[in-house]
Amino acid sequence: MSTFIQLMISGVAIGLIYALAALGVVVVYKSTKVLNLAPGGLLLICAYIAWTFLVRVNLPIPIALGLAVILAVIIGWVVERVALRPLIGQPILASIILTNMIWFFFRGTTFLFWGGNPRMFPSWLSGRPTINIYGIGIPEIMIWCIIVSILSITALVIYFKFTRSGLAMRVTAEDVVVAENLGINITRVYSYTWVICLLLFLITAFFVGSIQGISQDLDFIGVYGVIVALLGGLESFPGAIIAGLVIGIVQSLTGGYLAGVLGGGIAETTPFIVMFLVSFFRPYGFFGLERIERI
Amino acid sequence: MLVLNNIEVKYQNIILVLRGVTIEVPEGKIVSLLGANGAGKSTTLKAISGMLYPDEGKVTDGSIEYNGIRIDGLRTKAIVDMGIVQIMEGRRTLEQLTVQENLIAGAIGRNPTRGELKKDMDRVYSFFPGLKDAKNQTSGYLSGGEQQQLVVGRGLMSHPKLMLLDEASLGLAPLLVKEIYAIIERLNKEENISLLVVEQNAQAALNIADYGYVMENGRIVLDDTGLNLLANEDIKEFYMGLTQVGEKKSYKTIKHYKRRKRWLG
Ligand SMILES: Nc1ncnc2c1ncn2[C@@H]1O[C@H](COP(=O)(O)OP(=O)(O)OP(=O)(O)O)[C@@H](O)[C@H]1O
Ligand SMILES: [Mg+2]
Repeated sequence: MSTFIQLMISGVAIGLIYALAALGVVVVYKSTKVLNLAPGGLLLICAYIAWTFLVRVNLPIPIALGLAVILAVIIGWVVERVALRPLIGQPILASIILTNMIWFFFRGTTFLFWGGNPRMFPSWLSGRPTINIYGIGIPEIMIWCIIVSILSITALVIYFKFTRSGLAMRVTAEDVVVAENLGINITRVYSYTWVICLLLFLITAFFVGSIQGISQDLDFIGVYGVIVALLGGLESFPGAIIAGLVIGIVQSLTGGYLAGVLGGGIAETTPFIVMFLVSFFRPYGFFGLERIERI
Repeated sequence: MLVLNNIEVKYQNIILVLRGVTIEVPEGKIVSLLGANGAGKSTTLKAISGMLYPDEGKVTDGSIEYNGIRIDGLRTKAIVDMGIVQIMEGRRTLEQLTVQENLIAGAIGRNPTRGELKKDMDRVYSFFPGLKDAKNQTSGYLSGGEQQQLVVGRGLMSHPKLMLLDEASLGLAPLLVKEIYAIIERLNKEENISLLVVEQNAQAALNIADYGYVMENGRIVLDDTGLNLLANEDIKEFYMGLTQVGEKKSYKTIKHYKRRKRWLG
């Protein structure tokens, strides 16, 4: 029983991290209708940048992460400005091809500057391997994953619900022609969505890197992010969160119980299996966007 | 205030929709633009508000001047900032957002302080008290009449000096049409907002208009004071479906009549 609870909690933690990556994809899709297939590359670059400040430059953690945030903001802004702005209004296929190229561009960049070698973040945890909660040992990192993702999601919700630029984003997401008509600065909305996306990717990259080290495997996490976003219906925040939890938990349980029987690769494969099953039964994901119809 | 000088508009560089349109909206007046389906009324409004851009349309000839400044070619945001707002046809409320969020969205471009925003919303609620009661409702569930009120109110949030109103009456019951046009008239009188009102419902528009233009096939074919147009026999025939005795004509006979007798071309 305690194994089951441990696996569940790990699943929730990982699932929330996937959800953060997926939310990056969802935010961009909602506002710009660009399907961002680049999270793999963007996670890599975020992780290596954070690693550089933390290890190579050897700055204290808050300063290093602060600088990483600034660079992530700049990357988000530049990617939108240079690559995606010209694509607004083009067919979705154009954005699919382009974001794929962005993926490989950043993957290549990390090879170029960091040699593609696996790296580790310095350990920033308290050092206790597990924390006991009612007699069940939970790895400390999992608790941090859960706390930080919940805080990030809350911040995102507050931003969208209570700030003007968040409202501008929701307006643009719902009807870009009305946004234009009302004199909303749409190009600024597009910049902000990419900046938010990169910030979410940075958090994802930091936690995944802290769990399994930084390597080209981060590509996988990027693909999971896209899968989770698709499962969640691509335009739905709750959808992305629930889909992330489902994938995280299923992955954790299969890894825990079936890896011995089916081999270690099963945990990496389950997201795709879930994806196939769901797309078979619900092609629009768990949560297609609900449109209000009135006669 | 607003002068359209012989403008020509093309969509996608080939489809010529406006062929030399000249319209003037004097300060503080209500001007109506009438015409049948596809005449080019909405295109005219989009040309003024800079909203041709999403449809790949362009003003290819002539000029549009607002208070002496050329505005054709400017982006919508700049035009809204100058005080021109277009209320698009089809009641484009932001359905997922609440009434209040819709109104705030109309003010985002000006970036008002909290106090100003509150005052602006109260101004809208004073004209449309029904919206105040529904302010936390998702706007997609409002009735058609309320949605029309909401989009007009949302336009008001940008502090327009000139409002371009596109077919506010479409699909509304006669009583609601009367109500909304009464408020439009108050906006003109009390807030000194000039108006260019596009309508197929000639009666509704001409009742409040100082001046009117009739458009057909991308050209202005007739223009006169509101009162004269209201009395004009052809207008009665075409746009009110009334004969001299005042009975309704069937759609078919109007179509037939229209085919025989065109003002132009
Ligand atoms: N995006 C577009 N691309 C090409 N042609 C267009 C476009 N929008 C409108 N048109 C054409 O321009 C002409 C005028 O359209 P417009 O919408 O201005 O008419 P309207 O007078 O507003 O009609 P309605 O009363 O039906 O709203 C129509 O023939 C229409 O087919
Ligand atoms: Mg129209």
